[in-house]
Amino acid sequence: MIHLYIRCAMYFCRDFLWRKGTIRAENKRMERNTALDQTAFNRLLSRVEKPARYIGGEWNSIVKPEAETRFALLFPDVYEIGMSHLGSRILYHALNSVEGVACERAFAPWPDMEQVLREEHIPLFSLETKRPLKEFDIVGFALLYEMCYTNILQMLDLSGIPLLAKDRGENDPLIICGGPCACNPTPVAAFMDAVLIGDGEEMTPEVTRAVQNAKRTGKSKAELLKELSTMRGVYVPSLKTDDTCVVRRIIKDLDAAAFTGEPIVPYLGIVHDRVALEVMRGCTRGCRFCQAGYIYRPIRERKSETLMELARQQIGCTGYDEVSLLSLSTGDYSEVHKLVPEIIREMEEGKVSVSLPSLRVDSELASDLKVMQTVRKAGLTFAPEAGTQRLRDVINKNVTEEDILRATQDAFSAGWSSVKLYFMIGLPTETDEDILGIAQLARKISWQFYQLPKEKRGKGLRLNVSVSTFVPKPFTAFQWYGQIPAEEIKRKQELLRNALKGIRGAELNCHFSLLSVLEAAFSRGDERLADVLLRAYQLGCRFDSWSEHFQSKAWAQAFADCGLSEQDYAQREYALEDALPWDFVDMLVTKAYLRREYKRALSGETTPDCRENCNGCFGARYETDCRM
Amino acid sequence: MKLIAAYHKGQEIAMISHLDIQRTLQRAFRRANLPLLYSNGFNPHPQFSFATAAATGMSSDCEWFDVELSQDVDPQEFMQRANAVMPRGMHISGAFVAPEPFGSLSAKLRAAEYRVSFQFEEPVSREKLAETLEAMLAGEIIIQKRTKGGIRPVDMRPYILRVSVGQVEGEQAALFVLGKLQADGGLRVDAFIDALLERLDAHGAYEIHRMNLYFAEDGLLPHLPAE
Repeated sequence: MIHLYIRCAMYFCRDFLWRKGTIRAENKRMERNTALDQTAFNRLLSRVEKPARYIGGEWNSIVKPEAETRFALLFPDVYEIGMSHLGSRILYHALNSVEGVACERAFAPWPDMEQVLREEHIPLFSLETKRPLKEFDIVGFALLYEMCYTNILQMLDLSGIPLLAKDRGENDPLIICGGPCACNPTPVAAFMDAVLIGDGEEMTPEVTRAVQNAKRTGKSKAELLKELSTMRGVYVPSLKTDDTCVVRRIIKDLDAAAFTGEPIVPYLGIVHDRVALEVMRGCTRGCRFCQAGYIYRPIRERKSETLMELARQQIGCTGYDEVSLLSLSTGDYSEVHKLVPEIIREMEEGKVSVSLPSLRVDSELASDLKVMQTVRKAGLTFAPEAGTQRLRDVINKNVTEEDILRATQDAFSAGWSSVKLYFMIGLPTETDEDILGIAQLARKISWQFYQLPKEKRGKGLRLNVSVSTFVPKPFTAFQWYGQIPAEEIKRKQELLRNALKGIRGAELNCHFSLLSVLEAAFSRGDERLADVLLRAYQLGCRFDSWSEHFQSKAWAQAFADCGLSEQDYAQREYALEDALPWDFVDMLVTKAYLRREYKRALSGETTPDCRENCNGCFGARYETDCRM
Repeated sequence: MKLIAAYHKGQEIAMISHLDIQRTLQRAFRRANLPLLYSNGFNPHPQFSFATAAATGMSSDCEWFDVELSQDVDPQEFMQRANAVMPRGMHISGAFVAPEPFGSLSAKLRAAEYRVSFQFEEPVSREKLAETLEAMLAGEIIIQKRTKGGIRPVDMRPYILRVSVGQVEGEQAALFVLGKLQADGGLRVDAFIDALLERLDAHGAYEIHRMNLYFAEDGLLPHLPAE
């Protein structure tokens, strides 16, 4: 039955979906080609899981039947993840605000949909107009996570677009990417015509206008690329020389910058299914492992009035019942004491709840549980990152054990019983004592809970100890440091597992170690990894961050086939004076500053929050880019 | 006050699930600033209930539901305001004020009428379709129903009230099916159609569209004409 059903669908989908201009001169069917064949489309979708991922038409999605320039905004993961990405939503709005430009979305088709598309020879299409991606002028990928890289290749391949930039011609779309992973663009550079480094809300429309202009004036791709390479933040791999230096683009005034307009309201439940407001960008804390902490400097804020206005407008046009205040550290927002009570009060009237996902333990607000209580009574999450004060000083995570224990004590007394603790293992200078310190902290927290009288505490303690493996990232103080070997990761995880035994309520959650190895290899990778990506894709790797699809054997083979080793990449130790593959990118924080931080880390010296005193991370050159 | 209303689920959104529909209606009503009545409790939510669920893949003209409002709203105004903010493929097609007490829609539900549109791989004649149906309806129609206790055979025949053949033209055909549908069970149209295809020894694709829901007679909701 299933087999026959497929044959039948093929019949309908031979001229599936499309309109004039998409060739297909099968004469008598021409009229049908002018509009989407909804019946054929639905039959196709009836063969896949969660078909709503592919239908488009969501409230507030923007469909422009006529547009001079088309930009396909691609997220190399599944719909529910991609639609949760705030940056893509900002770009969707910013691009659709440009005259003559239509920005449409596409997400990586889940393997069941990939199979259907291949069987029916249907090219990957956008959600808005169901156009094949190949017909777009620009195809832009959001790079949020290294383990999504194979999906870039999957999406290009399913679109019939040559994977390598050098194999593409004048008629292929311009393939670009941006996002935090773009700060070390080398592993994906071979697939990209241009890489946008830094804040995208001004740069992406600018690049799009340049493409529009090139189209109008009949410029060649070579001419266009040359022009793009002169824009701040734009890296054109094909024009790279030894002198190339790409300076990160930044938005100086976040308050005046584009936001999400009228956000799309998905049919499907997505991961972050709520209004998200970016309170500020950047963080002043200076945690030495944290790439976001370095690459989003300096700190820039939106005014609390602006945020209140955005909250009203976005709740009004979406119908959502939750607002989330996003930033790297919301407790550090200068107007937090004004904004939070005000937004909670006003939103409550309209039955809208407010969530504050990244409050730090040591921020005054976190201890003010009265405020927290009016917010959802979900679990509390703390991120001490390391088990001992010594190691927390090394990583410059300026949270003390007293801070944590005070916060958990308050939380338990107020009736909370679910706490999540985030740690990393494999940090520079770490010893077994630091690992055991994690268990000791967990033991203290558990004891704290159970020594409260039964009637005064919540039901049963759920103390979730979540442990990931440290991944050294470019443009951090630890960029020179190698990851610990896979066996060592396992040994440390076991050590912790044993140490946590017998602690009431504690449960351990470890991040899959092989994935961390690949993550480390790609985050500090170089140009040679493009071959590995190609090979891994050929061997069937995609959706690598999904455990059900992760293929460790195929990855090992891909590295071996290219004569490389993921372990070597991950564990590689650089000397402070070594040239690094990403040296040609200038993320504004100077290498000299990172070296200084590296040395301070090894001697256990902390660096204070830069709001107290400027630490000079931008050096003299870009001093004016920071207003702190 | 309680409003009884019906929504239309078009082809464009046939592939969304019942859960998606619930979310979509709730958000649309919030956008329309309708005075929804929220439940008490830590996570207040608006109070909706549906006569029955609309299956993923099925389109429909008549999905009845009720919604509690904290203030009186004229049903016409309710429809206008909601329809101004509905996504493509969805709209409220009717609404009236529920008299007190009204009871639950799902308890009143009795039957549903469907239009099934076929696209066969090869032409199927009206005679063959009619004969096959007649033969099927003369006996038991056993399908394998998935239940909590595993898969068990169920006879669909008692749930089928009427089947008629609509237009037949080449590879295309339409069928109208009236089946029992109650809170405790009813006709599984897709299973019945799969069984029909098997008997026909024909291959093809089909779409199911729900044309009507019928309820116990109360003078307000559509009900089955006495036969």
